Amino acid sequence: MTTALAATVIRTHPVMGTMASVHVHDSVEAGVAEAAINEMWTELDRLEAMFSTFRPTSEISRINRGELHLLDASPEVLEVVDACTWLEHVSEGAFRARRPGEEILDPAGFVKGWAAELAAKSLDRAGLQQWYLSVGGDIQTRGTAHDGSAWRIAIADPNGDDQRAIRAIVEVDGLAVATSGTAARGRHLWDGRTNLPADSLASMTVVGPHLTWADAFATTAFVLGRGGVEWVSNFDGYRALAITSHGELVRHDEQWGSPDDQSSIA
Amino acid sequence: MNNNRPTHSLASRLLPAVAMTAAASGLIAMLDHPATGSAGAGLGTGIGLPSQSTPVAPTQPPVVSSTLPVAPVPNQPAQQPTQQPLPTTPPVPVNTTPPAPASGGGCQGVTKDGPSINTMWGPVQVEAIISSSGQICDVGAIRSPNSHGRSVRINQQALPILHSQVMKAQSVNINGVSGATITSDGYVESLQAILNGG
Repeated sequence: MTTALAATVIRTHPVMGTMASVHVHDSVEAGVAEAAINEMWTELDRLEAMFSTFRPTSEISRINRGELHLLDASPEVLEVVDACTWLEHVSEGAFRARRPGEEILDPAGFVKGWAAELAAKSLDRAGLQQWYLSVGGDIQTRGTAHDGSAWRIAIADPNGDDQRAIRAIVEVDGLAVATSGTAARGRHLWDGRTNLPADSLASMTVVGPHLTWADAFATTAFVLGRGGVEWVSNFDGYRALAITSHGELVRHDEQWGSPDDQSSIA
Repeated sequence: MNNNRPTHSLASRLLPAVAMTAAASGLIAMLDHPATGSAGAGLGTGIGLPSQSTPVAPTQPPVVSSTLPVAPVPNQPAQQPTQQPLPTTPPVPVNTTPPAPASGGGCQGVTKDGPSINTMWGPVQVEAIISSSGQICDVGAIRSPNSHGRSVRINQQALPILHSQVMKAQSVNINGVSGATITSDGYVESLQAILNGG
């Protein structure tokens, strides 16, 4: 006898210096969602242990100390370095996986979204078709919410006074939403071309099929500034929404809808 | 167009990967002359690199295959955006002036406590007043992380913002917030449990 999942399963898990949360709506045998979620947390923890620059035992730390050659690293490390190299290339150096002025590897700008999407494969393998995963506000959705409508994701106001806490709501049906900015954790993004903090925008949100790229593009486009919106639009299926420190909303009208929206936002 | 150029396999891309510790200019030079290899190779995770849109294929669906893209030519002129139907709706503008919260006489209901949610910074628990029609009359934190300095600082910033977000967003029933702060997930979880009847 099987018991269908009656209510939404919501679980949270601290990882990568932030909080992950997952919502699963599905008619599956009891325990299936639970097991898939636990598998996802285990995988996220494993990837954090592999990539954390705060852990001396991580492969990244060992590589940076010269104790581990990249060729001997795990396939996941090679994959991340490979993807970061590609991002450096397509952003003409704006994205960098090394800290300014240092030759040490810090792929944190890429790993969170990638790890989240990779770990969430356990939900797909379990046959779950309606779920939402947020890792520190970077979100991957699958299918729709429980009532069949699109997932509604609010874009926080990065300029954060309490009168204007949300600037937009994006409806996504199986897509990812990632936001990079300086508000939540202070300045942590550098322009790889100048080694200066990127501060021309308050936040950059990217929507697209894969959280891996939505997150990586948000990080990169944030550094690129207003031009980052156009840069993101060159990738199939991805679009960007920037918010300046003055609260101006910058986007690609043809991608997002009618220009009327913009005037009513401002 | 250049989408038909062969992609390079992961193995053949090891060289630029290994060169990560070298100067960026060297990396770019290598990628400008990618080794040829079997097409269809992707990241080991199966999460393919995104392709770039091209004017000749406006109806191309979002790429979800594991096919690697060909590295685009730097300084490529900006391309026209694709005109394909977009799978998401446009962002809904949010008024910068929130609707007057129905406090006082307007909104009355029952006070409910959500479950305590453990976050990295400590437990978060909210209390909400829910009207008979399901409207959130008010919401506030009855437990928030405050055991050490950083948590207090985060919460002094985060909780008023979250309160405002919830009060403003309730009519549109958001599922999550992108770009939120650390404690926000706990706040949303606890509130959501109330709304779900938990």
